[in-house]
Amino acid sequence: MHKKNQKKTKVAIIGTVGIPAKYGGFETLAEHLARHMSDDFQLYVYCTKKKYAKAQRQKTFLGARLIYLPMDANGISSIFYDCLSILHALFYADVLLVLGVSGGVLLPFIRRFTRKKIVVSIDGIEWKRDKWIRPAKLYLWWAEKMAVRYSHADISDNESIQDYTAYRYKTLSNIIEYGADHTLRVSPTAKDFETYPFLTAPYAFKVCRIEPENNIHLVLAAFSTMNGLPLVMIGNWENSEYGQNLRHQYAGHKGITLLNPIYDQAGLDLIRGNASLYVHGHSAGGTNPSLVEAMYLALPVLAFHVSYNKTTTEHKAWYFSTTEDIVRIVQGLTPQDLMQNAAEMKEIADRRYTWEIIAKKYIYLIRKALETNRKTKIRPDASNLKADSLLKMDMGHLINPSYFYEKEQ
Amino acid sequence: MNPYYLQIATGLTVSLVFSLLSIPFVIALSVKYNLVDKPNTRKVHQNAIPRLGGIAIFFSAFTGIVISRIGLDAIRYWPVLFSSLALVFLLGVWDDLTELNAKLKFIIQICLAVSMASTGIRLSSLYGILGIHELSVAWQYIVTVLIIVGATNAFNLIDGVDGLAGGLGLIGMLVLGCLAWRLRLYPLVIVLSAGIGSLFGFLRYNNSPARIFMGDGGSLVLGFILSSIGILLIEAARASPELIQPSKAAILVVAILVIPVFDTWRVFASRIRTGSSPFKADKTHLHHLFLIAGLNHRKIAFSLYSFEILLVLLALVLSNFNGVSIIIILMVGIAHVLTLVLRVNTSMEKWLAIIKKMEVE
Repeated sequence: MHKKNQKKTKVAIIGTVGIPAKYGGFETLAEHLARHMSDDFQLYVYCTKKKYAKAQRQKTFLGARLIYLPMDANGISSIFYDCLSILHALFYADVLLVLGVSGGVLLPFIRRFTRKKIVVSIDGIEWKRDKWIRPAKLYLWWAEKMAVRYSHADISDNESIQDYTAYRYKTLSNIIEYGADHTLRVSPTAKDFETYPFLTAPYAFKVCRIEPENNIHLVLAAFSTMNGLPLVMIGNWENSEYGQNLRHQYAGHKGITLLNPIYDQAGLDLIRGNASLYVHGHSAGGTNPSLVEAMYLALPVLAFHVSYNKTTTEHKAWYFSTTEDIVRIVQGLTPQDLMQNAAEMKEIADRRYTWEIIAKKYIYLIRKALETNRKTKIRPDASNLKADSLLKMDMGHLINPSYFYEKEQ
Repeated sequence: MNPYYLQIATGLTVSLVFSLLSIPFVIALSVKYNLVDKPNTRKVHQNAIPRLGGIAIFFSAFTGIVISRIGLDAIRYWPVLFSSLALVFLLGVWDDLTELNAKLKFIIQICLAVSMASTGIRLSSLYGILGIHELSVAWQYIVTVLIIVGATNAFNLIDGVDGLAGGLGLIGMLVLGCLAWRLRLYPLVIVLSAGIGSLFGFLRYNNSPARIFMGDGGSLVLGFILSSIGILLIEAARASPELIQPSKAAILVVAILVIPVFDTWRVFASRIRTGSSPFKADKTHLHHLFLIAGLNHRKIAFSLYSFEILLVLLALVLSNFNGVSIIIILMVGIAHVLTLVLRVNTSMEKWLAIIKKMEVE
């Protein structure tokens, strides 16, 4: 595509803690984008000095140049971190790929006074999450509006988020999920059986941050009443009162094993990859990386009943809203059910959730943004014509078009 | 010692004691004859609550005024002002008993404001607001009527949360009382302190959870008295600028009226923008927005009291250095930012509900 002597388009990736990825979804995404996009673009990735000690900092990684800023990338200071990254990128970049909306306050100015192209991933619906205090929610709510309105293209990670942006902003968001092929199939060794005796028999598994929005209380309550399948759960129990209380309540329970976070991929994948059922309690965000990863590892999925989880699993998993749902579903499962569901989940993941596919979608979107000055609206341009002229042209259906987010009742 | 201290203290005490004693009586009578405000979708209270508090406030204040010689002087000096007040009071009580036609209410209010303006209680200058100074006689009438009718109805509309209109009115009377004292208009000081005393007694029963509302018989009178005495005092300052600068008096009057007036103006403007009638009731007033933000009545009332006190202090301090226009733009600006934040919050809550629904579909 590009001749060797031609200068590559410069793309700045803004809004992650940094790469090499040590943390969550956006960092893993940035790392795989570096791996798959460096041939097409010159990438620059912003990293925080707070999470990378001096000795760990590198000039480049997988072809991407790394730029370190001195602020924390999480919590309230992410607003300043993102804004400073955006301002810095203005000096050289052609495209700003902004992950998350917290830098939204700057985008109107950048759109108006520069010719930079802006692509924003709006992530889940961040302003709705319980972890933010009200002023932060208000800011994020408004920043999302700015980010969607003043970007050349925006990215949702889930159909339901696309419905939401279409409804609220009347623009078409581009769906790009996450990849999962960085997970590993790990077979347990004799030593592993010693460390984790539960590996010898079938078990259900759940991993998440210990927060009420992940419905841990429902899952634990359900498994504590069942005798069949035991539950193994990994999370940061000591981080909150909610977690401490749950651990205190359920720790000694037969059939429930609560583990502290495991940070190496192989260690985590050993426990999760060998489970017989994956329980996904997330109710927030769009497509959750952990769910996608479980699907790629060919685990049958029991997920909380929200639209995000249903679209991620293409409505083919089992879904629960209450403790009773979990008990009823788990007790009715047969080995055949599990095998069949595992195959279905794996098929979806292979088809949709590999980093190569995800990176291709990003490359396509960036190229599209480079060529356009206008955002895709969901309202057809023709609908702006006068109603009687539309009727004359036999296009009466365009007077009040119906939109894809208006689900059939 | 100033010879008026005793009479002022007497007026205040008498009206306070009278309202404390008479309100339980009004509550009992209202319940007995079923003169209560029943909850509907727009009202924010849950139980049927008497709404004739205005009667107790009015008669307590009246007693506090007529008990002293200079209180009676006040009525003698400004007979049209006080008879207009009495008529606004009757109009309000009438409206409380049988929902009155809105147009009729407006026409009566305009007539009363005009008759008052004809006795000289009218704004003769804008004191530099928007760069305007002297007004022609026709404009004096128009501006005066607009201010009085506007403030009267604004207080009526802001009366939606326990303690709010009463407290704002009390702070307003306190400020006007100080102005009147400074201008040596002691008869007016008596009138205002009687008002303060009776409102204080009323607030004891109107504090959240309220056992009685002031009704239109209270809120219309409050708006009318604050705006008309406000104008009277501004004009008095113009006559004796050595006591207080008229522009300073004007800014203080703006400060005590700006919250209800700005809110009413904003709500009306947005209703007109969206193409509906400005008089069509809805839930977009400042106190509704506060309720959506999760504050309880007590907190809402105290936030807005503090806000009004802040505006008064701002007016006091800044009027020594700045022009009138700048200070008023600043006040309206602050009120605008406050409502903007609350409105963003309201639409966020609205979208939260929409998303919750979308998520489970």
